[in-house]
Amino acid sequence: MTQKSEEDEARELAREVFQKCMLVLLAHVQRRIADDESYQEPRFLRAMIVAYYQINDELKDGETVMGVSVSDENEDPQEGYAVILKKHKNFVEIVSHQDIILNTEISITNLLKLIELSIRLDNIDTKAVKWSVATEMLNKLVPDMVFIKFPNNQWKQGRDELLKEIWKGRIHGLTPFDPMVAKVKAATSFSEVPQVLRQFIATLYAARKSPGKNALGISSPDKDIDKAKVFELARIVLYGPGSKYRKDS
Amino acid sequence: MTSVRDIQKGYIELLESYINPLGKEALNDHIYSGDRFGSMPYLSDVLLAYYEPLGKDITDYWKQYAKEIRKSLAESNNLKVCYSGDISPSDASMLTNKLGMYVDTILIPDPVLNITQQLAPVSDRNFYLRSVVRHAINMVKIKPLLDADSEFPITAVYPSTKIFNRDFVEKIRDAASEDARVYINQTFNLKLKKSDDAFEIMQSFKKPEDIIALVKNESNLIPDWALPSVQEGIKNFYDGGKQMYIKEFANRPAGEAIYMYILGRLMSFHDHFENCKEFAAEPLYDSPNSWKMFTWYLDACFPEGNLLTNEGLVANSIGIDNPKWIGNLPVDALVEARKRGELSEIRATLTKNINRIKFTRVEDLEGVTAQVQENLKNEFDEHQRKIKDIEKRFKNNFYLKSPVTVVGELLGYIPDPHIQAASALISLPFTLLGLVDIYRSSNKILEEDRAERGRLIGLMYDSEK
Repeated sequence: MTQKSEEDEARELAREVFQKCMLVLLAHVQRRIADDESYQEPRFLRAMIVAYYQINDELKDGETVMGVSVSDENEDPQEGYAVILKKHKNFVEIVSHQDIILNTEISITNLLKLIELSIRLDNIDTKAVKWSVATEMLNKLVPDMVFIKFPNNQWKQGRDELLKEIWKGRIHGLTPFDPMVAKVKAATSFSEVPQVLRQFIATLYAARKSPGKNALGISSPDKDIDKAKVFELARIVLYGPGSKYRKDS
Repeated sequence: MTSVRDIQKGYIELLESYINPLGKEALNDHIYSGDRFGSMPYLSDVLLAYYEPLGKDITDYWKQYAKEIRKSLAESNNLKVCYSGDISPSDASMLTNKLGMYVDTILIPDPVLNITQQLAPVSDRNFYLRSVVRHAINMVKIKPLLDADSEFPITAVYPSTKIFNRDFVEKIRDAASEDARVYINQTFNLKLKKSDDAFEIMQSFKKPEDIIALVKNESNLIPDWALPSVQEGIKNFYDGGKQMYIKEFANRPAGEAIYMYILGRLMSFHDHFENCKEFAAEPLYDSPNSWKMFTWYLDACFPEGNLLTNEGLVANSIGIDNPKWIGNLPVDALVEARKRGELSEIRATLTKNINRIKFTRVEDLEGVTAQVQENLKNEFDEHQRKIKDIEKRFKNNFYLKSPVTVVGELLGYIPDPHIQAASALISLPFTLLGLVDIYRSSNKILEEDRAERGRLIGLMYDSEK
């Protein structure tokens, strides 16, 4: 018997990991449906199932099928996936798994991360989660980035810090006499601060908290975030525009 | 009222729903599977996400059935042993198979409930996952015994009291703290006056070397601390523990780690004894570490005598010392033998002469084990003698009798052709009758042989080979 090469072993292990992750996801979906008949499986899985149902005896080995699943027009955020499967004699190959909203291929490792996140989010009964929970999830999911939620109760200190930076001319495109800056000065709550400047405040805060790291400051004035939005944020960070600049992308 | 069997069935189904995605091959070796799936990149993260509801699921399950199962187990009037020591037996299937031929019921506190409620908050995520997978599979593997059609459940998993009763935890913590003070004073060069001081004083010893320097009574140390040497044992224990906990726990001083281990073990004893009392069961251990602490505890806290009956001693001897082959019995054969009522016979056999052993100290089980081995050997010899006797009788009956008859039959054909027909007519029925008789008596002997070999002792003898 010939000995397996390291590459063969690695490929076998990767196949096992993917296969078991899929089995775990299916077991999870099965359990959720048993608890609640109206439960909808994750859309990226549905696209795969739609494709899988097209594989039958009439299909020849080597032929491919495609499954698509897209969210309704009024759904926010929008999600859509296309999966291409190829039939082989004893197995089915995933040729491509595309996110058609972000218009990009989802790598297997990112798909595994989506599986993990969707299970974690499903485990929470409410529609929205606290930002602290969301950032914890995202930090675990994307270890080379640091997600930091700006503490809204510190917005006045944040505002002052921003104004100082603007006076020093360090914020590109903003002068102390910009009408937006006037709005910041007049704001009585964090939600009254224009979104662009809220983001600057959160970014400055994140940079101070995690110097030298790839930190992403989150400036939402809300305490909670919809689970669907957490999933969208993860998709964007994992493989959306700009993800190629991440270390482990 | 739900039967113990149905409660066990539901419990196993719950665990299986978490274990099944790992594939059947995961059941082959629970320790290997735990280590493997607990560290596989990506899969371990997905599994951790999938296992998030397990803690709630298992707690809800036992909240529903805790009272019922504890009541049923307490009311059953038979020989029970109650497991304690590690989170679950090192090989639950092996242990329960071994003990299933000696005791009526082996009680095991649900390890998954204990892990999800007690270990989860302080353990490293991957260590937690490894533990859950390992112990859940360990329990799923005893399904045939939990499910067995037997008068008494051969094995029953029950929920620990600790999880549902905070007052009880306070009570046993206070008692265990005092025991820990006594243990520390006896084992290390320290003179702790109050149990409240122990934690703080032990915490001041930062490195394993500080603790090693304090050891004054090596014979009190658990094997993990004493082997291969005290220096290596304590250091390995401390370094190994670092990988098991979250950062805050991993970096704690060596003295604190040792103290918490002692306290945890002693709390377990108190919890365990309460369970044994409630279930009227004998305490059972299957690991040398817990046995060592247990014997220290009994000697220190019950100097008037040990708490174990002869049956309890033999059960522990089987659990810890006796060879693994005893556990090779097929479950079906074990169940059948129990149905035939052979359990009391084998119990009487193995417990023979245990009274002769002076058991003033429960320092070790060697004497009991030697006696059990001797009892087994005697019984095996007797079994062998019976089998040989049966074989001899079979040979006498078949090989010695049958040739004569067959020759007679043949002779009926050989002589004069005129006589041939008549003799054939005469001899054939007689010959057939002879053969039928031989067949019948041989069959009877064969049945005896089957019965002797099918006895529990016979099955044990075969499984040793």
